[in-house]
Amino acid sequence: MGEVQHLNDPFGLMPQSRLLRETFELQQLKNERRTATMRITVKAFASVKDILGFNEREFDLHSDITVGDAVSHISEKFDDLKAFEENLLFAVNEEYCSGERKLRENDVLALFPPVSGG
Amino acid sequence: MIKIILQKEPIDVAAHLDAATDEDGAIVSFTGRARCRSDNREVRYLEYEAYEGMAEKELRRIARDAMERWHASTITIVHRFGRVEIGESSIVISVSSAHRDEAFQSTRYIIDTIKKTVPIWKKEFYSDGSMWISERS
Repeated sequence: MGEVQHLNDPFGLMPQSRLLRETFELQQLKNERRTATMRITVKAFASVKDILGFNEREFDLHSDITVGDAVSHISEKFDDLKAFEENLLFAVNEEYCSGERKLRENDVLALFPPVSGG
Repeated sequence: MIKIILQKEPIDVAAHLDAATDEDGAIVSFTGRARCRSDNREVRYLEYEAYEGMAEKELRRIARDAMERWHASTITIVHRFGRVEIGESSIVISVSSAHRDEAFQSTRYIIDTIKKTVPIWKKEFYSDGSMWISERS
């Protein structure tokens, strides 16, 4: 028992080292949060699906970004979407929303053109 | 009562036209059909794509709005998705109410709003290609 304590804390500074470690861990957590990512699902329909080449895909994006930010991010990878952006409609979790809407982990973001059912 | 159906199979139109209660004196219905001509191009068939979960929610919301505004008593909306042949019905709306005015207005409101807000898209197929239709009508 004495030996174990000695190995973990050779200079008898246990309380202090724990404090240091905890401070370090807290800092790490803060850093992580600053650069944290979240996973969202992007669904695409009709002509937007043709442009993106998928109907559903998961994206890892920075936490707490808006729908508009996410669309800009996706547009960087898909040039043709840029030309289309003015006509793009958004929905998060099956409800229409604006570009200012904040995204959260596991949200489902749908991108689509003006509708033409009926 | 509200009934919302999204289906791939052809719609049995007649089966949806007589929903009503004993309080109702009127039933008005609208049927949308796939036609063979669009902007002077010959259309061979249509394909509808739907964001199913959201489309169903939006259809239900529209039906609830119509019911509140005009006191309609029963509302049925049936919409196809997938391939629709020329002459087949793409949508059937049927509304019953105590008097005809409410049923006419509800039906008009429902089809006009569906064309603006429900996430369903139409693609026309021609002999030499195809095109997604976007708010052109």
